[in-house]
Amino acid sequence: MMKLVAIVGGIGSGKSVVSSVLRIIGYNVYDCDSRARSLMNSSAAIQHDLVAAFGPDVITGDGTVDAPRLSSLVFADKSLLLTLNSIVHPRVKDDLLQWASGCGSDVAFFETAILRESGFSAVCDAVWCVAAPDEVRVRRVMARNGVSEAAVRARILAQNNDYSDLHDCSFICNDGVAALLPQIHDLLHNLV
Amino acid sequence: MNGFFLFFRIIQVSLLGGHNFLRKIKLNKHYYKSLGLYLIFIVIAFVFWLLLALNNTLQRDIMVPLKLTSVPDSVTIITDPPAFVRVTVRDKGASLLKFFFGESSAININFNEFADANGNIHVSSAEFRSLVRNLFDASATIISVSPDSLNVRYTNLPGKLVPVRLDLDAEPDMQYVINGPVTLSDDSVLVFSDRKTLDDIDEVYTFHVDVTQLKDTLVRPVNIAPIPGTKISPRSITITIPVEPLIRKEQNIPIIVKNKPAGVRVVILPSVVQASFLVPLSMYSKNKPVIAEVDYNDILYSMSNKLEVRIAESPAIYKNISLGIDSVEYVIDNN
Repeated sequence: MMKLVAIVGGIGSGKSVVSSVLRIIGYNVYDCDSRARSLMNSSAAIQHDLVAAFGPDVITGDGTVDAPRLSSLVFADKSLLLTLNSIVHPRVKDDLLQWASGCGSDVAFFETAILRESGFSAVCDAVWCVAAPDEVRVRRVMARNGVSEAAVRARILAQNNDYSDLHDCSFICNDGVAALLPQIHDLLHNLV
Repeated sequence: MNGFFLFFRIIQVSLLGGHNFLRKIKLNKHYYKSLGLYLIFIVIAFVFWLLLALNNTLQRDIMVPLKLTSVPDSVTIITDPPAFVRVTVRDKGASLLKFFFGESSAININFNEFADANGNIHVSSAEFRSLVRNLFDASATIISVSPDSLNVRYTNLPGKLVPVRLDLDAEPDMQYVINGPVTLSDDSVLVFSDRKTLDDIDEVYTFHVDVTQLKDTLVRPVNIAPIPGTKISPRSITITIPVEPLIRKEQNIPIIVKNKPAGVRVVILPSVVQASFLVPLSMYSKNKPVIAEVDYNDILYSMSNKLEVRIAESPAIYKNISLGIDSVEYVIDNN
């Protein structure tokens, strides 16, 4: 039976690195962002609901979403953002399940930063949480972005990265000291 | 007979005796005398043969030079006349001898005599044959003249300066690039013709040039494609195609967030990306702006808290640009 694994983690944790490693060793990793973009620009059902919720102006003449227009609406009003998510996320979840069933492999992965909000937690069989100590994450963000320590800490606190309550959550330590590949190998072994 | 015998003896001994054959034959005064008489008679025979041959009637093709004379400085000949006229003539050998040896006579076309006011120099067939006929003795028979008449166009107008358009397909070899514009030794040329023709000409083209797998700067002469009824000066130009090897270069570039509304702060991680590209050797030490960007509107589609990084701007001369990462994480700060 095919298992669907979510890869999650806070900012600066390195979940993209884990996704890249999985792709390189031959596993299928669902790209939520590009699929969400594709569905919003091609799905008649999504566009119908978008027009109903935000008006006809959010669809351009060539049948694609008017991203600047929609952005200006939803990022100015949190309730509208929730409306947008309620339209898009269920369709992306259906697409994820359809994709996973067509993969033809024992394990398939997807990377997301909104596991709970999107409702994907209900359909995944396991969660891999990529984690690093806050000190390490703060150092990474400060060094790369040149922002203050206080600002970084505030952003880390603002993100809800506690996935321990989720069913079958495993942690990958990406602190720059522990090797990633053995951890990934062990988790894959446990999965199958 | 003695001379012939002596000659035969010399050949025989030279073949048998090698380099020192002269030592082996015993030449005496008799042989020297015979050899001298033999050679004298050969020369006399040749002279008689030559006299007989020159007295015979021959038919030959002779290339006679053609010259336009008395052409005023203000006149430009548009269509060049042929340099030579082929004349088939029959005459005694002695009469034709001057055309084979020494400076031969030329057919001189006097401009003032044959030019009309309409820009034509016309020599009819009869006139042309007459001019040719004058070059030969009265005993000569002109069999044919080619060309048998002459039509040359000329103009008194000054040349019209028109730009040269290069018809070029140039491809560098792999790992090489054409770095810079192709330069022409003359970017414009003078075209001479009648006024109506000149009015219709605004540019001239070169012949098509197709060069591939260039590994070094190419300098090559290229002919201007002729236009009927005109004279183009110069008739060829030199083109220079600058070619340089490409060198891989890496550069850290900042990532900008486009379409960001005022009052919104977007922090991206990382905010700098390493770009890798190929640059011409001469530009390796010069940093030209390469801009990477993420689109704020892409947040609309983002379920992974990441934004796709794209190249927003790069110099056309940079090839095969790639980024070290394809996406960045982001945090929106509405305060």
